[in-house]
Amino acid sequence: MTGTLVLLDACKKADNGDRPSPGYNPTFLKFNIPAGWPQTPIDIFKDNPLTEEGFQLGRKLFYDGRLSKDGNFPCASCHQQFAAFATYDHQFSHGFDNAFTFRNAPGIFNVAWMKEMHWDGGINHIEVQPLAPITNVTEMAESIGNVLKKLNVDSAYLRMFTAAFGDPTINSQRTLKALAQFTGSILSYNTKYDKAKRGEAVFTLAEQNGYNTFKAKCNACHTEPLFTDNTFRNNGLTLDPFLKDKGRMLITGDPSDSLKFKVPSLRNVALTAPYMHDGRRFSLLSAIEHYRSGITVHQPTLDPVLKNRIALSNQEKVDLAVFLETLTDRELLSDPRFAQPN
Amino acid sequence: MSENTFYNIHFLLGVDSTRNVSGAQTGAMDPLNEMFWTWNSGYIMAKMEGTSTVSNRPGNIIEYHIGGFSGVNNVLKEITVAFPTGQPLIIKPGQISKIIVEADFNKWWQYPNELKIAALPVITTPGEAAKKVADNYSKMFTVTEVVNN
Repeated sequence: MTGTLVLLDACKKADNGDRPSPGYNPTFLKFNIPAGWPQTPIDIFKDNPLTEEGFQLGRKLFYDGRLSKDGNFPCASCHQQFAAFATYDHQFSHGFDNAFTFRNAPGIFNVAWMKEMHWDGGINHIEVQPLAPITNVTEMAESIGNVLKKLNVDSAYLRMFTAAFGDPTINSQRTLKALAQFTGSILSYNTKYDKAKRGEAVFTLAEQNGYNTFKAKCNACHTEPLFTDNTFRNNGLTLDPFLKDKGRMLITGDPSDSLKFKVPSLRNVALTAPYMHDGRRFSLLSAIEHYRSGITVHQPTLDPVLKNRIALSNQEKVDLAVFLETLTDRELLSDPRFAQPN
Repeated sequence: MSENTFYNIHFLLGVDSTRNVSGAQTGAMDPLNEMFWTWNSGYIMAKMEGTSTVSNRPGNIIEYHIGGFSGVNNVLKEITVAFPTGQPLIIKPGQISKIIVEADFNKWWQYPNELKIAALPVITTPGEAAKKVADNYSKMFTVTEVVNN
């Protein structure tokens, strides 16, 4: 009965202008910042009020292959929940027409704390991020106009847009805002590390030793509690001769940004091998080893904190890997709220 | 001077910087309009596409997507165009006046920065070249006639 009323009211949209129809009654949700965490740089939901209906619409869109040209590549094809919304066990992800993506897919969690998104920071707001993978010919290879056409002929979407936004208009802004409600709600804050911090769990000796090493030698860039400071740095990888990926410089045009990439969060790092922007390091231990011995130090834009590499004993290296395993958020990986909807 | 009499028009060519960093926009700023960069968030402030026999690109394409809203790459242009001497715009209640604005597209390449299509057939990123084009097109406008009714 309620659904019928909503649709009838929605038909009167032209009379109401932009005012939501009288039957519009979404369930507002609160975005909670975990205790002790920093404030987000901006309130990503200020102009996009978080509602259960908007979240569920975004969730459906995230898992819908129709956002891609041939139907095979929903957002979730590269951003898999069981891999903390990265691509499991892939250097590059697969896209339309047997293409490889240009970079290693990052996990999606705690995005509200990012001022910029993507390895090169080219995206300045969570709402406009999906435009990049949707239109990229190596990813979803679709146009926004075609996506909207496909959504507009699906009565389930007409109902869900009405429930989320008050009338059945399906446009790019609403589609993007709904996706932002879903992706912006994905938080990782229930790892063993978090529980140890809250007094709900106790580190093993090796984990504690690894944490001590982490705080002394890694925390400058992979800053707690997000395990990234969201800056752009050259961590001593050489330019790949095939990809020729100069990272941040592609966005700023500034040679001093050459080979700088966004510092990734180490949360869920045990699940997201291979590592670095191009998946160059295949295991957690080899990624750690990079900082001990693999950094190419004679580079003009090398981050100053790495100019002497990072001294680690074999014991420290292994303990560090053990500590990093405590950053896996099993509750996130199996949270039904973020799973593919039925 | 009556406050309903105007001697020039002042406008911003481009999308103000705030709207470039505020998420998904709609209406004239809908990304559907193909004036928004998907890989490097921000609006394309001016776009010219076509062909030229001197372009060395496939199909002799020329393509200028001029954008950049912040810092050294900012191409936002506040433009003031004076009305012809002795032809102020006079706005009176209940009457419609018109100004005729002409844009000379040759200026895109010509002044103050002389740009050769053969050397620069494609510009699709913010930066020095885009700024030169923006300097040029900001000077392409003239008001040729003011019609007061």
